[in-house]
Amino acid sequence: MTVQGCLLFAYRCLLWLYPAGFRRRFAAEMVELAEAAEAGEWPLIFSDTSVGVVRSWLQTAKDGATVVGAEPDGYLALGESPLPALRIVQGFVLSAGIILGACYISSVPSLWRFPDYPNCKAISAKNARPAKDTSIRALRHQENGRTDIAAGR
Amino acid sequence: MNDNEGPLTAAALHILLALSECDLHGYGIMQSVKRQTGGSYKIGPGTLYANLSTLLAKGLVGESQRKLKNGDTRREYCLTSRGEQVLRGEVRRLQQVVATVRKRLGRLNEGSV
Repeated sequence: MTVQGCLLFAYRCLLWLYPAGFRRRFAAEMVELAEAAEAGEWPLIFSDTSVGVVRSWLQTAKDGATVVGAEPDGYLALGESPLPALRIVQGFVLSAGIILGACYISSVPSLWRFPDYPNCKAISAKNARPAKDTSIRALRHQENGRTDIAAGR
Repeated sequence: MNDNEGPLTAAALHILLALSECDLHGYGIMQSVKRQTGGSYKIGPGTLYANLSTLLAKGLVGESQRKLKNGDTRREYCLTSRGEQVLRGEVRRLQQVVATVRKRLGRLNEGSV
C-alpha cells in the first residue's frame, strides 16, 4: 500500500466518526477531495476534518438532542438505551483522539508558545496615558485647590 | 445569518461568495476560496461540508446533480435567492464596519500626529 493509500485509509476511518446522516451525505465527496489533495495539504485535511467531526457532533446535539428524563429509581440497560452502542464507541474514539491531541500539543512547546510582538509593546507604551492618582490624599488636594480658587486665594 | 441570526462566519461568507459567481462542486468551492483570498485562507473539507450542511439546512444554498460526459453524476451547489439576499445583507454590514473602522483609525492617526 502506498503512502497515499495509507493516508486515504486513515482518512476514511476519520470520516467514520461523523454522525451517520452527515457521513451518508458528504463522505463520498470528502474522500474525492482528499484523493485530489497534494502531499502538503494532508495536515490541513486531517486537522480540519478532525475539528469538523467535533463541530458536527456539537451541531447534531444542538439541533436534534432529545432529553430523556431520568426516573428516580430507573436505569437504562445498554441494549435499551436510546444511545446506540455504535455512537458510544464513536464517542470513545473521539474523546481518546482529543485527549491524545491535547497531550501532543502540550508536549510540543513551539505549538502553543505565542510569539513576542515587540512593536505592540512599543505602541502600547507610547499610547499609554499617565496613571491618574485616585488616592484619597490626591482627591483632598484637588478639593482644597478648588476651595482656594472659590475663596479667591 | 440574517438580521435575527447575526453575522456570517468567514467560511460561510467565502462559500456564498464563491457560489455567487457560478454553481460549483466541493473542490471548485475550495479552489474559488483560495483564489478569492490569494491563497491566504484555505478551507478544508471538514469546514467546507460542515458549513455547506448548515447553509443547505437554512436554504441559503441549493444543490443539483450534474451528469458528466463519462456517465457519472456530480453534485453541484448553487446560491439560492435567499442566500443572495443574506450575502447582500452581510456585505452591507461589513461596509458599515469598514466605515466605522476608517473613522476611528483616522481619529487615532490624527491624535498620534
